[in-house]
Amino acid sequence: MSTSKPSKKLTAPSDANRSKNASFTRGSKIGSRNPTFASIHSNIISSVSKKHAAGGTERSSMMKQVVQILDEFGNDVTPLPLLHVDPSLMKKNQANVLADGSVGTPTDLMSQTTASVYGATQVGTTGTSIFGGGPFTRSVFTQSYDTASDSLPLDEFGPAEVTTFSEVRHKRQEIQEVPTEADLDKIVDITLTETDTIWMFDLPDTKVSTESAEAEKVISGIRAYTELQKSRVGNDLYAERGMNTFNEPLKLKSVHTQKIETQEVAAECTNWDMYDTFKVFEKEETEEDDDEDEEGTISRPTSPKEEEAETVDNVPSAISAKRESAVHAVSRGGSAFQQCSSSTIVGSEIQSSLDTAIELSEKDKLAQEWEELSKSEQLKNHLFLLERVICLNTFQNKQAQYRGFKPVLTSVGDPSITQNLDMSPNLERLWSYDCPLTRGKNVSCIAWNKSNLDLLAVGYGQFEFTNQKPGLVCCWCIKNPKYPERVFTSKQGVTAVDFSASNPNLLAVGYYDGGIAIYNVRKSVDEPVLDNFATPGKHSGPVWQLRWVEKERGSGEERVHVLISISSDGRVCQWSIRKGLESYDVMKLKKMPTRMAGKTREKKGEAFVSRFAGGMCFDFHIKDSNIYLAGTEEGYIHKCSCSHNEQYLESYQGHTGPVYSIQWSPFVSDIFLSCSADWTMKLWHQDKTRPILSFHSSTKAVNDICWSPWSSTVFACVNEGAVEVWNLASSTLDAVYCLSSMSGAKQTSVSFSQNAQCLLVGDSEGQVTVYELRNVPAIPKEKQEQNLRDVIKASLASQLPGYL
Amino acid sequence: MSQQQVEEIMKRINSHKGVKALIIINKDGLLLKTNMEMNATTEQLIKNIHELSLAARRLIRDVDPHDDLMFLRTLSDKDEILISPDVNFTVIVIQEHSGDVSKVASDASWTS
Repeated sequence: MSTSKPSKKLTAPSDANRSKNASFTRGSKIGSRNPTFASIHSNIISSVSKKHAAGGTERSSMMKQVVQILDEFGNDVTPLPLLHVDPSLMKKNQANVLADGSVGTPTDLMSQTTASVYGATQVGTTGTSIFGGGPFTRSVFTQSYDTASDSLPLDEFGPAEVTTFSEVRHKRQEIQEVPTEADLDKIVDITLTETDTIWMFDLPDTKVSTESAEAEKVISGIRAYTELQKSRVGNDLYAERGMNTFNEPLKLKSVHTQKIETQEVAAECTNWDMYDTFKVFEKEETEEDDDEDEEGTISRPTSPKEEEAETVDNVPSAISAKRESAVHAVSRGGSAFQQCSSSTIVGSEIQSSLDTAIELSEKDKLAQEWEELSKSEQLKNHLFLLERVICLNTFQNKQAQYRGFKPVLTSVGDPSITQNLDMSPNLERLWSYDCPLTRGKNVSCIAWNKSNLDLLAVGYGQFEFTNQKPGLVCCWCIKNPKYPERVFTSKQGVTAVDFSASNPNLLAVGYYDGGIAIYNVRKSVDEPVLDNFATPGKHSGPVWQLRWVEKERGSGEERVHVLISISSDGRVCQWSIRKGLESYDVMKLKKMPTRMAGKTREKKGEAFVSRFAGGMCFDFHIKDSNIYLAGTEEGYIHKCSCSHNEQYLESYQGHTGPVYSIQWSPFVSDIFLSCSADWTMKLWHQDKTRPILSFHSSTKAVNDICWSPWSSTVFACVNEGAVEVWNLASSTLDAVYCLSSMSGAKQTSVSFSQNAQCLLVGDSEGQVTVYELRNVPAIPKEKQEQNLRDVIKASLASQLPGYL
Repeated sequence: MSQQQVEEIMKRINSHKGVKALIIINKDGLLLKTNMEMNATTEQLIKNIHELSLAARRLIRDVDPHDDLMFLRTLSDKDEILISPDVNFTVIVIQEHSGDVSKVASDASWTS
């Protein structure tokens, strides 16, 4: 081992890489301490020190020799060592130091060495060197110790060795001069110079004028401060303390990142984008609220769907109401559009299904989208609207005419084009309601909707028993002459229709077999809401007329809407729709004893087919809903009351054939008009059992009549070949205007339009033609009644008393 | 059921007097259904119509976000383009004039 050491040592300087390791190994041999301060420096130094050690030996030998330096005066001025090294103490120190290694704190070392210094004045410069050197030389000291003591065997060098090291240490430390006496007497010139003033801190004074506003504050502040200064010494507020901070060395550090890619994204935000977004948030909030509310109820569907369902129901009627204004706007060339309710419905079904769609090709995606879309309600609504618009395009003139618009003269110099030379009342054909569904069917009745005056229901059914076909009810609208809005089919021919006034969506339909059905026109479902096909109170003959009547009940406060029907079986029935259709016989039309002058009609035996006379038509009094007129097959008209169901109040004789239609005058409450198969129409006063006036124009049965809602003296009638317009003010003998049908179809029903100067005529081919009635003089409201009364008076006067 | 009705209405529209084309496009302007033959010109036409409808919609909504475009009609010498937009789709009908142009122009001069 010993031999190896020197070899190691020798290789150390050459092998700079392994110097660290080498020092570690050396360190470990001594003790367990690794000199953390191990560095190449120290090793080199150790090697250097080794050399010096070698050189130092000379000096130590020099030190051993008594050297005497004599000056010129012969004084012994040999410099004496200030500190005598005590070998025993040195060894102690060495051991101590070695034990500690290099980890010992400077203070520890210092205390040790100072102890040695103070303890033994003979101790060599070791202590001082340590003391003077401080922490910086310590490591060297220890290191050199480690290396030296380890490598070199402690033989004859021993203390001398130690002293040599102390000599080495000498080099580090400044040589201390020992002042001689002579030196002390020397006059030493000491020059004192003033160093530059180093400004540590400069706070210039701020000056405040004594007249300024702040002066007081400043002065009081100054006073307070001076007092504070006085009390500063013992004041707890102030404490003097010194601080020393480390100045951390700066190090530059660079970091590599991936290239930060930037991308420009622009978005356009418009006014309505923001509005839409907020709406969606609001909707989500309300949906959440709704969901919370609905947790308890199971039967209710989710709120968006419910909304949708409701709005869908409302849409047809809503659209029909709005279209009216739209038509006006369009025909005026305006561009004010209302908000369409259908477009605000969110198609939640479409959304969700599109979201869950799997990845398909473009075409497939579109195809799928179409599939979804074609089932949606919105598409239907849009198509519906478009159809209307297209129709409008085609029929624009006529529709404008219907609405009462008159064409403006296109050119001033040519008045004959648009001026109507014909000044008398005439009918101009506007259009006709016709579609493949209705061809060949006989129009049996026309009824207007009470709330939406553009909507009418037409019932199709044969009058004759022999020619029965499946019946049809079509709801047509003014705005679409091409196709009906609603189609209700039935097996039996339809003989009567009427819209309810209280619930404008209810349509009552009477059939040839006596059945009555009630449809809800809001939905386009082809099934009645109610029907009486199975009820025992069903009529046994065709229901010729239906009416929704508002009746006063009991005390007169409650107004009940009931359905009244009259039929060939002679019964006038009242139906209530509370629980199914319940009937209540208002009247049974008894046969009048035959009183034909000169003829006695003998019933064959006493076997009547029925005790009752078939009822053909009825009309309730406008003012008194208890009174009504019923026309029979016999030709009698009976005035009845709802409170008496056995007796007639009055019977009117005059017609010799079945009375097909009867109507009170809308202006004069005592007058009514009737038409019958005996080719005549008769005007009656309710107090007279004989007609006042009788109108006769053709040899055909008069199928239907209708008073004009604007003129008290105007009415229209249809007989089998023509439409006639009568104006009693002009003539009571002839029709003012007569329009024969070209097609040969029999005209079967007529009705005046409530919101236009138009007349609707239905015929046996399934067509309902709309005519505009022109040039009928408009009469102010006050005069209406008077006019009619005048006419009647005149006619009465002209009649000889006793006639009739 | 509703699909059947939709088909029916479309058939009726197609057979109406003067109707040249019925087009249904989705909200991106892609064609969903049409009754006219597709070629380069018609595709261009559809694209332009779509843009027009978007521009009209923008106009209405910029002025008042509560409002929305309901219907748009464009009358040209030859025919009339009827555009009915919705959130998810747009239905377009191209219809020829029923009468001569002067008559149509005089429609705008109706008075009551």
